[in-house]
Amino acid sequence: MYKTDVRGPLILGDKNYRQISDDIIAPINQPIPGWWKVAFFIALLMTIFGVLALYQTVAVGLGTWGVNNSVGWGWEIINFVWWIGIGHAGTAFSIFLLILRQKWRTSINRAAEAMTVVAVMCAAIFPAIHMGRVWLAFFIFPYPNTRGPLWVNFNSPLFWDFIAISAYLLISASFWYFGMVPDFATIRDKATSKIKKAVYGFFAFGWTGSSREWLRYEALSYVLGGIAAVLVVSVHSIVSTDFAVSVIPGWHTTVFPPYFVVGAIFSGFAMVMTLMIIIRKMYKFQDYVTNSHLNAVAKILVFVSLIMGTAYATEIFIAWYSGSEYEMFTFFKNRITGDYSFQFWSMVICIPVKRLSSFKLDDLQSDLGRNRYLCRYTWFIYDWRTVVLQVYPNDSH
Amino acid sequence: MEKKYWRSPEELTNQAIISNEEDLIPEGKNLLDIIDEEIAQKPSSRRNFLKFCGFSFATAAIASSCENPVKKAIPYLNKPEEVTPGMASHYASTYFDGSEYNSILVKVRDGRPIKIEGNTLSSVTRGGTTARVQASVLSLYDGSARHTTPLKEGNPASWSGVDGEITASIREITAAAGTIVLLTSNIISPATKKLIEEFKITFPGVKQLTYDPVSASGILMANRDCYGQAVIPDYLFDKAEVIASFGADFLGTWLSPAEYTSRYIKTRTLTNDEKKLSYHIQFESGLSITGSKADKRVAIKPSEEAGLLLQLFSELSVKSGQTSVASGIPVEAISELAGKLWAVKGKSLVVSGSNNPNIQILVNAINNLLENNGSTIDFTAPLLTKQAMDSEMEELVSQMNAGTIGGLILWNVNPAFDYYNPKAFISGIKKVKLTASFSPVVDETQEYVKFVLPGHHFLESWDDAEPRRGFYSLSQPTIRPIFNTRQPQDSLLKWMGRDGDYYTYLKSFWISDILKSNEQTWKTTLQAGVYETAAAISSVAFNTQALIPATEALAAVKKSESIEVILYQNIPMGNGMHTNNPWLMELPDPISKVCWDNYASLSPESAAELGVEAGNTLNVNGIELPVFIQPGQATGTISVALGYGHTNFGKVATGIGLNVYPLTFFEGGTRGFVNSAAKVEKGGGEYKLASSQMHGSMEGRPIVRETVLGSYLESPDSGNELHAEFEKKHVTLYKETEYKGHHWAMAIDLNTCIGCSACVIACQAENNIPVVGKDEVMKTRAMHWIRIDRYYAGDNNNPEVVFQPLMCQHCDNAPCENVCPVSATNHSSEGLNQMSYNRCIGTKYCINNCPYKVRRFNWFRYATNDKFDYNMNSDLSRMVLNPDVTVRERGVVEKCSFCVQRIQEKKLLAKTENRPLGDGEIIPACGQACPAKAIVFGDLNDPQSEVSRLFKDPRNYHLLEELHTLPSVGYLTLVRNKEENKA
Repeated sequence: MYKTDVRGPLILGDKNYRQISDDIIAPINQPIPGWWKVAFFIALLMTIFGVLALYQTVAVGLGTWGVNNSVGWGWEIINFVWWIGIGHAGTAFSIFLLILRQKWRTSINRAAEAMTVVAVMCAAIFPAIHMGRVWLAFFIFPYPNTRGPLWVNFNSPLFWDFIAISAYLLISASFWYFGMVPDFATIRDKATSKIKKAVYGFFAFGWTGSSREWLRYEALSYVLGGIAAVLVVSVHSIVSTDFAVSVIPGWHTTVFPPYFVVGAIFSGFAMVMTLMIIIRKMYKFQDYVTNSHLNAVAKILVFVSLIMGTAYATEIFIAWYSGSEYEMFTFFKNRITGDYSFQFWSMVICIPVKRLSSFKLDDLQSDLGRNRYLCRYTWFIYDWRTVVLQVYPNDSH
Repeated sequence: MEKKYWRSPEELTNQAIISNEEDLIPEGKNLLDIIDEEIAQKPSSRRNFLKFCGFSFATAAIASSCENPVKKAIPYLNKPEEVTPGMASHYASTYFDGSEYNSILVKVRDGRPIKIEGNTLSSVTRGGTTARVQASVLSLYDGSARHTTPLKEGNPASWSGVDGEITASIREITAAAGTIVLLTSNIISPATKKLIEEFKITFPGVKQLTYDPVSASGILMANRDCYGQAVIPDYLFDKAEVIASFGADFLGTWLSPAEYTSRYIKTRTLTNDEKKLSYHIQFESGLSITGSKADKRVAIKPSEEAGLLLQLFSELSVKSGQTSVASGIPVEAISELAGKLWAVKGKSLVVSGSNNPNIQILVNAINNLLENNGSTIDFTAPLLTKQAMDSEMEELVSQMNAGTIGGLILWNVNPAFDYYNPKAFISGIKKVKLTASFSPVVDETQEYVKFVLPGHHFLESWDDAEPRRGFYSLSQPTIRPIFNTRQPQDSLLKWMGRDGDYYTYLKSFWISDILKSNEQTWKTTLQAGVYETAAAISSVAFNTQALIPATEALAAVKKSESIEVILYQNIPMGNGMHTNNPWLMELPDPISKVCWDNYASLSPESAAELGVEAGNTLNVNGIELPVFIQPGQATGTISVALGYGHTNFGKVATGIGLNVYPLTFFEGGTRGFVNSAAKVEKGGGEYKLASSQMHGSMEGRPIVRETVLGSYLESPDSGNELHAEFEKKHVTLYKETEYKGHHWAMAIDLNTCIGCSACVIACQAENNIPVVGKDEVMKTRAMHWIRIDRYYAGDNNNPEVVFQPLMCQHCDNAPCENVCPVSATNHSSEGLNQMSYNRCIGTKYCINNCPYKVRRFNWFRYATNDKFDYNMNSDLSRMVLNPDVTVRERGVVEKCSFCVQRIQEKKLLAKTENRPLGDGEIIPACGQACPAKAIVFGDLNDPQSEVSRLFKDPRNYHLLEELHTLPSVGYLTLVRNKEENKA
């Protein structure tokens, strides 16, 4: 089915529609598997730890963190940038492939979009709790107030962040949800219990699967996709201005907006791939998320990694070309040979390793391993971006 | 068309109606009357009814639902005449802690002293203060260390009870012809001296001895031998064109630093019309702030000092046509110095910080050869703040151990801590029948004392002082005694059976003996705080008899090969009596930038020899000291600060640092502070020091700009050529802000800043800045709004040092303001970069984006938090807080405000007096405290103001001006008086 000469089959195993629906819905009707409970328990423990940490932060103060009067930002902003970044991949994945009419998108887009929504919600935590007085976080909302001329500062990138995140969360959640409406309808139709029917029926918005509905569905997808495509570029560009508009050497860099966007897509795609490898194995979706799909993702990754490499090279070149010895210090002394050389070199080494290995996807286990590394090291990129660059103020003090 | 009605031509033409009357509250009416009238005027409509209902319900709801903490404010039953709530009063008073003198003004708000300022009327300290003086107001509210009641054998007792017992005991001892010793610190109060004399007459067995842990016995003995007067002359640094100091840290801790600083900078400033600098050479072992300011600094071992002085003396003798004396291998620096000194004979000054009388005799001889007596050294008004002779204490301890002392009354001394042999003192005091201490705070000696009769804090006391002969000042209480304490003088009067208190005694003594006038003069004198009489000019003749044995003794001194341990007083702690003051404890040492500890300073070479590095410990005679690598420390020497390592001295001091007084010793009639016999080896421990500045280099940035005098005279902008270049490039796309009223700015003269850090403490006191403790300082979270950055340049073994006070630069194009999402930091119409704490949500973006790193975040709640139990955790110690400045909440960013509360106060004052604000009227806390007057504040829009003049000086530049932040703080380049031009 959907077999083309160039691409090969979209779904393996020569299945008909009924089989496909049954296969996809199968996990919903199964009893909850043991591995899922274990994974959920681990996730729960981590969440409890996170909540305790949040409580400590709010109750005692930001002093419980390692940041100081020279370097005001640390892990919280790293996490923010990272989560927002990987969130991008979901949108980028869905939208770019949608616009390019790549059918194989459908095997992965749902997971990617879900990841986006969750990641953006995670990301939103950090700018909130990095505030010294989080209980007054609403000051950042431009709401009508009685303070006369005291309004939010439209010059501040943190305010732009707020706007960007809320817009992004809204659009990506809508996109995700509307995409799921026909699927809810399918589950509703297949459901046996009345409660399930009612719940899924509610979420399905009375979807009947008529041609007119499909037509409107397509139209809505393209409209939302069009808006979201802009956001993919704008949100991380705005996040990058947190650094780019500052006066701090190593932060004050115009290459940041494209560089952040590409970095985000890079780490996000890697994350999508990591998640899909696990999901297709655990839910036995190898026929739907095929090796050739993953291979396509890997090709995109390779391409994006080349852009990343160019961005790094540009950054280093500009540092040299600017003739500013402080830029030189930040990039050459601090990163390439200094305190952060481990992170720098592991990142540099990690990307080509990925590049060389990602064409062949025969051994999924080892691929998973590589992907994890990729994610981790893209995390390092952000770690390094936000922390290393603050060495300058550290020194000046 | 509808008809248009108008009330005035302005309304018709749609102009703003200017009415001044309406804005003002009519005189003689209060707000409630006005509201009542308003209500009476308005007809009671349904709308109004609902309005008032709504208001009442909302008020009732808020009042009943929000639980506000109950704060008790008790109004005056009878309002004192001179107290206006919300207005500060200033009282002239005197600070004297037993060794350091300062004439001060005490700022009192609502009955509590909250800040100490220099008294500009004093011709001794000239309005300058030191960090220790600034911090002394905090010790008034030290609830943890101060005694609340008299104690007998550690148990609370009543004054009448202890008085009875002590009087009986004194009578018993004196009747049996026993001796009672009143062991005091230096006493410079003429009234107290007279009282003690009378006490001695009443009780014939009483004698007074003076004990000073860090005395000037060496100078006193030398002057006794050379000039027949055991006094310290007045050193006129302002009259000297060449100053040579051998280990005397006269800007930091030596004798009378605030006074000497004000004189020294007169010859070191280029902002007056004379374009002249004195030449200052410093020979020293540890790097001091005085050495940092010197034009040439030579690192020497203390044992080399004798040889160098002998050579200097010898060369000067030759120049004066006398025979030379034997000296060691000639040192080039000394020959050069001899030439320079000889060239300005009579306008030079040689001083030494040594406590060895022979060295001081030689220094006297050198000054005598240079004919400095009477010109730069003045015996007319000698310094009286150091009178103690070390031998007296030595004798006393042996007498106590021999059992010949019947009674010992301790007054402002703590020998169990700071005597070099505390065991001998303790075993001696145990043999004394009557022991009493007047100390207002707990100390180590009180453990061995029967009666503790706590005195007042000096801000609760009446007293007088004569720091230099003929220069008097008065102390007056600025608060009622907080605890059940009594001034020692009152105790003496009581025991003598006199009626009347010390105040009456002091007043009648002053009127009859000092002022020789009436009550009115007394009142005006008390108001001014200072009184001067012209002393008879006293000239001295040098007695050469003393010189020969001294030179012989010194010639025998050879440069020691062993490691010499130098025990010194550092800037925050002095001799150790201020150690319980958290402000001083957290004040970074101006050179090492370390706080909360004392440590062994080693040169990089010595550290390599001993095989230690920073973080290790060094074992000096069994004392495990943390190692600190100090560039500029003489190789083969170790410097350790005195005053730390208290075992029972209040919650802050106890257990912090190590007591190195036991490393001092008594030799040749004086106490020695250089121990060359100590056993020094690598210790086993690891120890981390808290430093507020880890980085000593400017990384090539033109942060401190400097030049040499020669180049400066050729072109005044030498070293500062960049400034003009950046000014030329000053372009902006945006409309430049105009400051129509005032435009506040500050100029800091790097030439006169000596790094003493008085401003840091003054700022802390003025702006309620919390103390955060060692751990937090180690995490770079110290809260000081002004810091003194110290940079090293050149040779690592003897670097040039520069100090740069750094506070918020109040940039007119501030990077912090742009990035705040809620506009909590914004720019005032007068050019101030201001923080609204209520609006701040603590994103810390401004901290990141400040290129000067002057913003501070409240990482924790520092007030009323048991984890920060320093000075904001009890009701008593919070009394020191300045009510004009908010105590910041956890989670907000704070920084220097240019003391906006002071600006506002003076602006309002000028307004109520209906006059323009004068230049120099507003002085921020840092500028007020500065003994060198290096910080000048004023209005840039006033072309006549001092700050405008300094901003136009070719030496003026701004920090990181290439970033186009347009700071309102200007720095004036550092100009060194030396030959080579490194710029």
